[in-house]
Amino acid sequence: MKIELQGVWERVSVPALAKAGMALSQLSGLDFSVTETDIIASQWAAVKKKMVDKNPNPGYAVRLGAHGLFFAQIMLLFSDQNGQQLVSRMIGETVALPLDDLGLSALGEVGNVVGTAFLNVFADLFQGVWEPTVPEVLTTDALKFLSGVHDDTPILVTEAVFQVTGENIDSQIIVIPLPNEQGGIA
Amino acid sequence: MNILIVDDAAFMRLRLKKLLEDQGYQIQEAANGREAVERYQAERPDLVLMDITMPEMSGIEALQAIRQIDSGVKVIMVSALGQQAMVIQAIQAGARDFIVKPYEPQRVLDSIKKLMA
Repeated sequence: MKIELQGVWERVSVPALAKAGMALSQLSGLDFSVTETDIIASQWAAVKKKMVDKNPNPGYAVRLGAHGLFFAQIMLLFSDQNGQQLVSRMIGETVALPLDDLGLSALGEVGNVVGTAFLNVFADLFQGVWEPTVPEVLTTDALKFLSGVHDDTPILVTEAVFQVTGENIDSQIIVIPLPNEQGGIA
Repeated sequence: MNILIVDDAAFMRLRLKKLLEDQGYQIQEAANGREAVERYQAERPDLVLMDITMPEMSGIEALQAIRQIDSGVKVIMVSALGQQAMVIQAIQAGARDFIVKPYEPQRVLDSIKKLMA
């Protein structure tokens, strides 16, 4: 990725994350805010270590691929408790763990709506289409989604935490642009 | 009035179904574009609410296929993919309206009433 494009990525990621947070609030009925926004360029090994350190046991992960402007991976990570609380609010009754098919569907839709809101900002800015894949929900080993990326691959990551003020609900979004499904940022 | 809800997310189908049944509409469901085409051909609902990003067949492809069956079909796209280029593509393919997820329930009801008036 050329330096100027990286600069654009860094600048547009902030309002795109804000849009994603607004979408999550509207879908869930909870007043989420975006905190701890971080946009970093690094090698995949370092990024992976940071993700593991921050999320030693993510519980649930929703993954979307994105194609069009360029290839990217989007992941939303939830602890068991946060996934349970978020789905309970969306469904309107307390759901049990592990989440059943309807609960997993709700969590997948969170990934779809939040991830696509992020993509929409970039697509409209560049007057193109940046289309997500159908969301996948993973209940173990969230980082397995990115097992095809080599450790020494240079990579650009946007991440943020969505948090509800006054309540113990948060989730983490990670967006990793890649030129193709295996490679890193050239 | 019969409405076909097309969305791969069971949660979203359930949410829309509750909203519309409370208003007295009769609901049919499909979980992807291919199933939507089959259900439309068999049951000819009065209106279709169609997601875009779905497995097997996308909502845009399903819209085009259904229009081959019935050029007068009334389809409202209901998708998170509210990118300008995609909205234009859907309208050009024959969609009558485009509602971006997450939506306000009243926005959906207003669109249906307007189309069925």
